[in-house]
Formats: sequence, C-alpha cells, structure tokens
Amino acid sequence: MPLRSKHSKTRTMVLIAVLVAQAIVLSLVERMIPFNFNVPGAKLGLANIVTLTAIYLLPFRQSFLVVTLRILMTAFIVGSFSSFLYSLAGGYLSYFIMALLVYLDFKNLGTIGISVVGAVAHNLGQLLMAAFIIQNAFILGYLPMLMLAAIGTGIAVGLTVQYLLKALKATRLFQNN
Amino acid sequence: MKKTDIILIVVLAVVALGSLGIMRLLQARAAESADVIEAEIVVEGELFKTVNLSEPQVIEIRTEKGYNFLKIENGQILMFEADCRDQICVNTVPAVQPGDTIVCLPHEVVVQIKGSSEGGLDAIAQ
Repeated sequence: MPLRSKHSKTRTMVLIAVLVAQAIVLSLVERMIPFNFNVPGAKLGLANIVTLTAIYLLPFRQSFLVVTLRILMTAFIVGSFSSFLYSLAGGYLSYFIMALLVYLDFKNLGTIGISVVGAVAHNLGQLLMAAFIIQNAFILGYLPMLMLAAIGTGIAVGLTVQYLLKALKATRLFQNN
Repeated sequence: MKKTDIILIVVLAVVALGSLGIMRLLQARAAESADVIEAEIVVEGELFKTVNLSEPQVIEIRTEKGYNFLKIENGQILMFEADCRDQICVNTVPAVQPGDTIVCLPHEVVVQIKGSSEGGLDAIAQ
C-alpha cells in the first residue's frame, strides 16, 4: 500500500518516524501499567500494534526498519543490555512470522489471527533467548502459560489494528488496495 | 474475525492447555515417588547450592548483578527479596514440589525443585 503523493519519499520517512515514536511511547506506557496475569513474563504487547500496522501499511524493508528502530531506541531509553537481547529475540521472531504471513498474502488469516501468531512467536523468541542466557531449556515449560496469555493479548492487539487500519484508510493518505 | 482465525485460536488454546495438563500430570507423578525434595540453586549457569526443603534457612546470593534472598520454611522455598528490575522472581509463588521453579532472569538465578527417592536405582531395579 504505497503512499499516494509525489513527495512519497518524505512522506514515507515521516510515516516511519511517527510509527517508531508511537511504538516507543506504547512500550513506555506499558511499563507503567501494573498488569499481571499471574504468569511470569506475560505482557500486553502494545508495541505489537505498531509492528503489525507497519507491516500492513509499508513494504518489507520499511516495516523492518520500524521494528529495528523501535527495539534499538526503546533499549537506549529504558532498557539494559539483557532486556535488549530479549526484545531483539521476541521482536524479530514475531515480526518475521507476521511479515511472512502478510507479505505472502496468506488470505485465510485476518489481523486477529496474525496478531495472535505474532504474540505467541514473541513469547517463544523471548523464552529461547532466556533458555540460551541461563543455559537451561526447562524455562520453555513456561510457554503453555504464556501462550494462553498471548491468545488474549493477541486478540486485543489484532482488534486494535483492525480498527486502526480502517481509520487510516479513511484518511486517504494511502492508495486503495 | 475470519473462520481460520477462530480455528487457529482454538488449536493454540488446545495445544497450550494440553501441554499444561501433561506437564502437571508428570509433575504430580514425580512428586508422589519422591522421598527427598531438594532445591537446586543455579547462579549464572553454575550450581550454587543444593538445599533440602525440610531444613529451614535463609540463603543469600550476591553477584555483581545484584542480590537475591531465598527462604526455606514449611517445606517450601520462596524468593522474598531481590534488587532486580522486574521483581518477577519475588512475585513468583513459593516452590514446593518437584518441577516447581523460581527464576530471576535479570540476575540469572534459577531455583528448581528436584525430587529423588531414597532407594535410587535399587528401587527401580526391584
């Protein structure tokens, strides 16, 4: 869905910057919400709203840039080196799987399905990184619990993206297709 | 929501609940056959200490990453204080039976409950 404008390069750059800024703010807001599923490590995954929106709105290279910048900048602002490794593993794994489904035009899944897959992939990525860091694979045993939480948050994020895309299309900033 | 979305969600939920059930079952079976219940404390990938859950004590772990305090009481082990950033370990429920774990990822502290039967190999051989 390319931007319809002669100045599309500038527009694309601005759009990427806005998406990255939104993702960072959502990550920061999420840290302030004392949200607890009683599952260690479960999160809302609000930044995933921006990742998935970027995948739908932008071509691969640009959405990849959005995710990469989001991970780097969030780490610089609030994270430590280890939290950076976790968001790298979770963020990229969920991004690549969601991107694969969207760009290959896998029409059977809607935004909600893709978002749920992305949320589960995010957990899997983080647990694999954790297993690697502590050199102990038992931690993957947390996956079923985290998966249940991810289904819930994934549906919420997917619904948000669905409404967001509808609203963005109404702005006519993007070409219809 | 598309039909495939719903199928996907149901399949994922069934897989998650199923593996959770199997894990609980295996854990319960291991707990039944265990006579001695011990907690294995691993810090930064190396075994720090193995403690028997029937001996009340306070264990202090200090590394350059920070500190963790564990307490054994009433046959259970609990992480009651740590200066890690996420405090997930402190909010974890006390570990009681084999298979239970307490993990402090920022400090790379892993507490794993293991059960062993006194008979050991002989008991199985009979």
